[in-house]
Amino acid sequence: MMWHPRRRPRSRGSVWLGAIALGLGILAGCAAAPPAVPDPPPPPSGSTPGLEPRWVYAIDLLQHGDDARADQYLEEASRLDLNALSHEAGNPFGDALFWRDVAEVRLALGNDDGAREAVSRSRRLLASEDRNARFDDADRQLFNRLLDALDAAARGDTDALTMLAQASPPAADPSYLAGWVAEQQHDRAAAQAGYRQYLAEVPAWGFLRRSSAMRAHAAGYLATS
Amino acid sequence: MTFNRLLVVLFVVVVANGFLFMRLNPDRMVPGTDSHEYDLMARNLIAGHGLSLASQVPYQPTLYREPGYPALVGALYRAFGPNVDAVVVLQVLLLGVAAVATALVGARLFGALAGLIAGAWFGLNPESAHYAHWLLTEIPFALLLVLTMAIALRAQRNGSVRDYLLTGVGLGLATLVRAVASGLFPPLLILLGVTGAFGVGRWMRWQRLALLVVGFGVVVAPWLVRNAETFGRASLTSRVGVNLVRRAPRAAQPLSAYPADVVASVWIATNPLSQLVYPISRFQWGPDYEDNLIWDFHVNEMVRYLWRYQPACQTAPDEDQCFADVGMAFVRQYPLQYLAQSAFELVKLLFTPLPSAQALIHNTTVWLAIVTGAVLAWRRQLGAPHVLVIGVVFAFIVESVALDTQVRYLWPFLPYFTAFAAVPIAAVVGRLVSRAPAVRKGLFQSPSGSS
Repeated sequence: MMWHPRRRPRSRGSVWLGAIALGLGILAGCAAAPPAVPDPPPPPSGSTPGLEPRWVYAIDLLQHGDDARADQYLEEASRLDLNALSHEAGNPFGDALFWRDVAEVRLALGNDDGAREAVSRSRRLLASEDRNARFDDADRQLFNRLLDALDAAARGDTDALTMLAQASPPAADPSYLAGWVAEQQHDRAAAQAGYRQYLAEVPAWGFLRRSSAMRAHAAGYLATS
Repeated sequence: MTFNRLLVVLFVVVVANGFLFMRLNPDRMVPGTDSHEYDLMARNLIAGHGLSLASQVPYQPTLYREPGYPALVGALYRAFGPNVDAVVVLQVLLLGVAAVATALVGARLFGALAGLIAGAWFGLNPESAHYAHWLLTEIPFALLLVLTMAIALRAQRNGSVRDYLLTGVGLGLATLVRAVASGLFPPLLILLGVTGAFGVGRWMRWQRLALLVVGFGVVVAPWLVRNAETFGRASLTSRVGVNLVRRAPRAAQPLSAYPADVVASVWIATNPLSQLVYPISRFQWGPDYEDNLIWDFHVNEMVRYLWRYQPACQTAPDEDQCFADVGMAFVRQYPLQYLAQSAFELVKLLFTPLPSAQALIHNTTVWLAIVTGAVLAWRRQLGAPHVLVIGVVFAFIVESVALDTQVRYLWPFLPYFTAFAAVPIAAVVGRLVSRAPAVRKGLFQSPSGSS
């Protein structure tokens, strides 16, 4: 039988105090463990087949702030077969998202024409993506707005970016891009305004792949300007 | 027949039912769930690659999944080869033990007859048999929880130092299977602190509560140390943010979206009765089975939010922290809406959404338990053990509703719902068989001797 009658527990003070001290010591040791950052994974070898490993690796490089090498792997991937992309591997928008990523990185590295070409490809592929239960009209609208913003940034069109930033529901990325274009044009006040609005709206309304780098750049610019 | 013999019968019947179900249903991996990840992690473990979700070198370590279940599956793979059937056989046996533990908890709360009914209700439930035959954490997690609860109830009653320590150890082991169990630690500690027996002596209370802390801490400490050294943070899991981001952005939706959510909530809470009145097909808006209001409410929106933020968070230094930051931004920006939508989350947690015989059993169990609990509370018939159980279940519900809900998450807590749901059934059965003295002698005395 599981349930015992009430009984007076025995006291073994020093043993239990020792056990408690040991346990608390282990817990304290846990809390004091030094932080560590995982190393970046090794790159896919030249013989690794498919676009996806290169895309995934490029994303890892973006995570480590290495836009130039990420661009290298994205460009390599862009020359491979897009049809091999899995829609279940964390890339729900598949090829359209891939080209949006390419556009972002090209734009960040100053390749404006390349960015516009990638936006155009992404837009075409997005149009062929059917509406479904998990990618509805609101998602499509948001995706298109982000593409519009990347395109406007590549054209240096701050007016278009300002309009996109004011549309509803909110998306913070056009504000960043407006700030970024203004920064390129040495318009400090406009750059500060764009970055301020961006930082006020993220992380809730930031969607682009380079969000972390964008936040760091915007905060850094505001701190130093 | 005595209570103990009936427990043996219960174990045998539940296990036999589990084996029969396993034999009739050969599927072991559930598409779209965690099954494949556990299989991969177990294979990586026995191959010496550590706890990793990677299928190729360098087998990067993960803290996305807790180590308990992969370790159990890995041990069985090592002993019997990578054969999921071996895992399922063990899970069927563990389900039998969980049914017995449910009976013991039920007996502690409401007497032997109600306990046995609760154990049978839980163990022979088709939902339980389903989880036993799949490669999922549900069975070991439910067993660890119900054993912990049984020991905690005993600790509450007799003040044994060993039971306080074992309660902490049990909860620690459950946490290593699913981190959500760690959220039960504070309420368990507080409720035992307030309602438990501690014997005489000034320091008895603190000594026992400290042992609970130590039992829990020592079990989870190695996992925390490993994560601190590997990932730079002493976390139990990297799924907090990913769960929050699936729920929190909903708070920003306009008022015009609420009527559809209310309709879906009412329909699900009254399922499958609602199916008779207003068939689910009338909510269909597209050709695929997922193109349905009930699916939108239950699954689709969560996936949409996750997919929306995945690109931004995959490049963050800490992906889960990024998701958590996004989620918390919505909580801060829309606190009232977030709170209001907890009602929808509660429905998603408690009730099975799709019409089926299983939904009838599940949803009836939940309703019966809620009504019984309310009636007993109204009549002031709830004592310290009930408060402990209700408090822990309530803490789980709050934790789940605040973060992320799926009806699957409720099943490991079904033993406590069946215990409460069994009370009116036991009252009816009791009246029917009370004329048989032999039966009464064995069944109508609670194991502890009290009614």
